[in-house]
Amino acid sequence: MTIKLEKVRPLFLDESWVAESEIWGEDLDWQPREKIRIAAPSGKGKTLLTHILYGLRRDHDGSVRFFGEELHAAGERGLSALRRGRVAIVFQDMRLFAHLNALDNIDIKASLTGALDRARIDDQAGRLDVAKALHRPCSTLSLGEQQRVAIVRALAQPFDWLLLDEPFSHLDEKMARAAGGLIEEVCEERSAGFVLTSLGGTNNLPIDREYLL
Amino acid sequence: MKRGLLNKIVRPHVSVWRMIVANAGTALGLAGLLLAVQLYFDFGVIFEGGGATGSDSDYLIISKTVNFRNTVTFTTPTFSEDEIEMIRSQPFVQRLGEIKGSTFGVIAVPSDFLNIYTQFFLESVPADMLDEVPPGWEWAEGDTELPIILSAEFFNIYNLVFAPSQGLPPFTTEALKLASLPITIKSGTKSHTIRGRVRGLSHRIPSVMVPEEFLKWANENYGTDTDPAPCRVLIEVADAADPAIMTFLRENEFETNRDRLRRSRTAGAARIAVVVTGAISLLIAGLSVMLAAMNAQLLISRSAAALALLVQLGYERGVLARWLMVTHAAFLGGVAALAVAVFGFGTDRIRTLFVDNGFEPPSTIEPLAWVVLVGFSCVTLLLQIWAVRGGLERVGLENGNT
Repeated sequence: MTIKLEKVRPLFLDESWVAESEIWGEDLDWQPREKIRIAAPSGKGKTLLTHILYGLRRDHDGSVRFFGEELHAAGERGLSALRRGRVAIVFQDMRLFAHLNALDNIDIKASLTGALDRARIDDQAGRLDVAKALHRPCSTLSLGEQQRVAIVRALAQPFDWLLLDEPFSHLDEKMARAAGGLIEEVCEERSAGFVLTSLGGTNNLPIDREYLL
Repeated sequence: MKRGLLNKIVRPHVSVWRMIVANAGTALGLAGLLLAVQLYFDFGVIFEGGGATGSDSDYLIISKTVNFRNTVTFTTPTFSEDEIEMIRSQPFVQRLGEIKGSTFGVIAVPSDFLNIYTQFFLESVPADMLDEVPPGWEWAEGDTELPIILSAEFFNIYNLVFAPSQGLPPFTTEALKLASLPITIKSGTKSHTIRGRVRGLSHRIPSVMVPEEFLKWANENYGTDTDPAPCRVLIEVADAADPAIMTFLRENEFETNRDRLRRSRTAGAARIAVVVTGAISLLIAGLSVMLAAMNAQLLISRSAAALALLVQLGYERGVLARWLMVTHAAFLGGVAALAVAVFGFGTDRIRTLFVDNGFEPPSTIEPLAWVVLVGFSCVTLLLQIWAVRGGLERVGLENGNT
């Protein structure tokens, strides 16, 4: 499934930012299984771009197409279907249900497609060192633990594209490498690509194309 | 979708007390409304011996007051044509039938063997004013059989008072209808005997009724007055408890069967009380339903962030709406069940009170109560659906997000 950006440009963005950007206002075509990195300093719109790609924001010009079809053309149902089975996301702010435990948070996403594989969850949580945190309410987890739970939640569903919004921002180098390795492995297994936003260069994941936002 | 997980997400935002108050209020209000509907019809049966409309209490027999002059002149007060038209024109009168009486002597010999011999009288009203018109309710000159409708009250008095006191056998209604009753009408030396047969009993008119054709023929041929003016008229009224009737009768010095009127007025007063109770119950139930609908919207509003996140994760708004509606429908089912339980218990207790006080309440549940239950539940469910849909429409639509 390709992702095509056609002159996407947020309505309120400063004109000078658009002129300097390799993303805003450009025509871009990302092929299946491609590994894309978009780097930018803080406050330059990385989360905004991720949300536009995920269909959360519509306050922009231009269009985003998944496999040739405009993201919002199929309405809310089409968008929900996309989010359930074809596009997964790790939000920068994690977006976990604070009063539910980590396992319930993963389950609530995975059960949408019946994809919950408990052994696999335990394995992935173990590799990211949050196995013991699975039964604790997310409100009691550190930001680093929450970020790893959010990664496991995203990987628990089927997807063609994985959107990663600064997914290692709360992880130390060792854990970031472990998370990167897991993401690369699952993407390989699912024949999926990813779009990663980050503050700068990261060596945690192999990259095919890199852009400055 | 896992309902348990979704319940877990919303539960922290549920106000238990508000929910209990709204649901208990709805259940009690609905139970009160059902009880009011049931009692409205129960009073009809208890006070009037029939349904809410078309009962015998809606028929009144009006006569003129007998005064001293009537006594000394051996005359019976009768209605003139003008007076009858005046009664007919009253707004509370729906129909009027003149009751005409015999002006000849009538002798009945129920049984030669038992040596019973009695003098009595005959009356007639238009057939459409009878309780029901029995088959063969007609007579033509030359007919040897005369159909009769006997007052149910007279029949009871015979069976329960007269027969035991005279050592005579009581009869069932069926046996009465099989019996042949020789009737002789006479005037001076002229007489005519005909075989009378009771065709039915009347709760409406305390008299011995024969077809109008026979009475007209008999009065013309054997009566002292060939076309007597009516002493009594039977009127059908929309509501016997209407105060205007009593005022009209008093102002014109007319009389009626006051007991029937009083029963109707009592039933009317009881019904007003029931209607007021029903209205208050409806108000309570209505306000509780509104509170429940507001609760639903408040719950969605409080859970907006969680519901928006579910939508972001791939849950469809329609699926979430269905889940919330099923939850509300389950609560509504519980509310309806509780209301029916309270209604059943209340009806049973009230009817026991009626029986203990010598009344005879009906034993069935009025179908309209079930109609009210279903109608109320449907309206409540629609209101909840509207509240849930409206609430969810607004979830996650802020700041250009979806």
